[in-house]
Amino acid sequence: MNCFILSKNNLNDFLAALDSYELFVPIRKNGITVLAHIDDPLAIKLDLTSQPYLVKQTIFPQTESLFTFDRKKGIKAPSFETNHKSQVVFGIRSCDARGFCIIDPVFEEDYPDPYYIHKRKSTILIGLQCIEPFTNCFCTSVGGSPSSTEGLDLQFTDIGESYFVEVITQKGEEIIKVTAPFLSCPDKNQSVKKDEVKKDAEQKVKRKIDVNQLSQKIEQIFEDSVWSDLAEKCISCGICTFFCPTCYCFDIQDEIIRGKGKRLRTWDSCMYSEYTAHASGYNPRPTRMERLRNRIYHKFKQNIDRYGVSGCVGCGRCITLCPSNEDIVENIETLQRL
Amino acid sequence: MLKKTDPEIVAFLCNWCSYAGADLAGTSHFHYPPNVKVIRVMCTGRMNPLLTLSAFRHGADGVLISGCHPGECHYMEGNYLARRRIALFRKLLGFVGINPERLRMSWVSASEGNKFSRVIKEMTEKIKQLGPLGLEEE
Amino acid sequence: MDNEKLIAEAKTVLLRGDIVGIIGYQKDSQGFRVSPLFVRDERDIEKLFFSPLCWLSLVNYLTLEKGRLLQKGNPGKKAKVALMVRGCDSKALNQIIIERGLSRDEVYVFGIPCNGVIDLKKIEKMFPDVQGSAQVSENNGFYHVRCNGKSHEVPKEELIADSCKHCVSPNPILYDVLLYTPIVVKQPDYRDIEEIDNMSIAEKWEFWREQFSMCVRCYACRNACPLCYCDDCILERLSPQWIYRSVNMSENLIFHLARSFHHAGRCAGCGECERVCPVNLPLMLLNRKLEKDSKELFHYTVGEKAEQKPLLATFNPQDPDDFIF
Repeated sequence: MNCFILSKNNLNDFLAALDSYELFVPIRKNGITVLAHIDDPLAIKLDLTSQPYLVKQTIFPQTESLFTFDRKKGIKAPSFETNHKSQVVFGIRSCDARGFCIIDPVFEEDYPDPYYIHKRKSTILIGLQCIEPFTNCFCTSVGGSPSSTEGLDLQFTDIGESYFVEVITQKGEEIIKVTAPFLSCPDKNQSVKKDEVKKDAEQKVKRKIDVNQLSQKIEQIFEDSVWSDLAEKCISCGICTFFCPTCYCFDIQDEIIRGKGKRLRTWDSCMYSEYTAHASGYNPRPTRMERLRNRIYHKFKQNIDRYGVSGCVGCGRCITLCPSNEDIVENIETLQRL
Repeated sequence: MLKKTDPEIVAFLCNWCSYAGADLAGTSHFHYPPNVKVIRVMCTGRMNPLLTLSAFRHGADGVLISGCHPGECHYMEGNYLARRRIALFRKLLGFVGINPERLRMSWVSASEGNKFSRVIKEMTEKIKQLGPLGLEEE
Repeated sequence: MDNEKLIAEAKTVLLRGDIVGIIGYQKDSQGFRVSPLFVRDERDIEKLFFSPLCWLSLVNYLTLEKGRLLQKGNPGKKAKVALMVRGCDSKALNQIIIERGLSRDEVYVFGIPCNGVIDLKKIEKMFPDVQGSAQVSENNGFYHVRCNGKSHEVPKEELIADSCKHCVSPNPILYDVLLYTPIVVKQPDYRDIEEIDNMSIAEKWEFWREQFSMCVRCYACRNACPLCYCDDCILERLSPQWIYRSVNMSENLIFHLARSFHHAGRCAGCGECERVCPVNLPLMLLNRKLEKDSKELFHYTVGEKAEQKPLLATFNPQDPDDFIF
């Protein structure tokens, strides 16, 4: 693996050198950290310490126009070949990158989704090693780690005065070519420090869940009344699904204003009662209990059955943001104890 | 043909008074600007403020709601309820940065064709000054 | 605030037989978090508590799922539920009763005079990395915070939730039993609303444009609000479709204007909308602007009297009409 050193003083210059790409970086807005599209990296203040939210928006936007139509001019589909510049998403965490790997097969197998595939192919993901895992992280229990490079094209590790840059893929190499003037070669000490930081971070992940036989357990206790107890607090708001790196449900709607319209894809949530509402009025998941049970089933059983990997990356955002303090770690614990 | 720079005003007129008044303006040849699109409602009391937002969203630069004079509503109280609702809603619009002058009401009776044309003229002038709202482009 | 009276009352209530359960607050085992607790038998009673950490409205649970909670154990018949209700919650509950969403005899109210609760985000920022549970009590304008084996005194203004800063109804307006001593009521303060009102139209637009472009339309504000309990919510209706599903500045604007206007003359000021918003939108500003205007234009205050006609279902022949041609 090729490795380089980027002095922290040169970070903004490094980003500025990527002017042939659409650049997304983590910035602080309204008290949270989001990946925002920026034009001038030299003037921007990055937030690299807080947990970034809504990273999946960069590849799977909340609202995406599939095609437009006009009463007079007919239908106009987006042209993928000349659509947009490639994009670089900087400063994401390993859980976010793993999240993309987990939803890739959903959009690539069976019915390949050209919108997602095009964006995914033309996006370069630059990850930031977690030095201090966040309060609710449990990535190590579900096949991940703060040091994981799965899904990343480059990984930055903060080793004090500078970043240790590891090139993971060919796409990452292209970034190195463009930013070479700001990079230097690492020496032995820096390499050792990087390994220490990585190992340290893994030890610091505080929360754990026991996934041993979990998917079989969930199947066995499907009709148990424990699910009602777990779901009692839930207010069915959808925050967990929106901020989850592996949630991908969407709705398709047509919007027409004065003879011009577009067909849109927008995020949907299995936590909404409307999600499974039938035209007849019947709803197979009428209460929060069924919906919460379905979500846990999907992440911890169905995804494993279908794609061989847990649907949860252990980022803990659902726990941090839940208004009723529904805690997936505690919930799994309760289920395993049965 | 209206150019894009011409303001578009949507007027919700109550069936019993204002719509008849507008009709009278037409038959009496009282001129008023062509910028207004009329929607007939049975009573201003049925005006959900969201309808005005919907109008703005679809390209209207101004909205007029016109009904019977106080005390003369065909359904007794509809116009009083509308007055209260719209008074409150205008303030909220102003609070988020939409000029409240874009949303007005008027009392036009079935015999006030002249007044109707004056109201439209005044409103069109005002909206021209304020410029396009542009909510549908966001 | 000691919990003895709360627990004693809870025990009495459960023995009554006509009450199926108590909805109250419990302290989570982690940090400063507080969760709703659904007590159905004596074993859970000791977990009930109240402290300045209780920034959560329990009234919402009465109307969730069309009031199914009230029907538990008594299919088809309405059962009675006890719940812990702060000043603002009581206004919400009262409003729901006025609107016939619930009837008064379906709830047994533990009234809690509340002096304001703490914004969880503020206290978690001030005290990150808390191991185990933390406690907070209030004394004389200070919060006494106990965490990680140490004690801290923090001035109230630094931690109190923004929606509590302007509270003028700390005492419940309806209750079956009052758990603590009533609190002196403050005068209303709308200076923050006036500050925005005094900005130019363009400045106001810019301010709200910034805010609404952050909104992800998760609907958490609608779900958390105790007064949003319509079976057929206008915000998600498809036929007719009032609000398009696309998430952009103008749809978000219409969403929030529609929602807050639906609370004109009803909003209890509990601040749940602001509490749950994952992107920290200042939604109470819209609600309080309507509250201020309702007072000034129509002399109407929510919760002034337990029996009160809804603001927009009434009128006065002298209502303002300066905007009418």
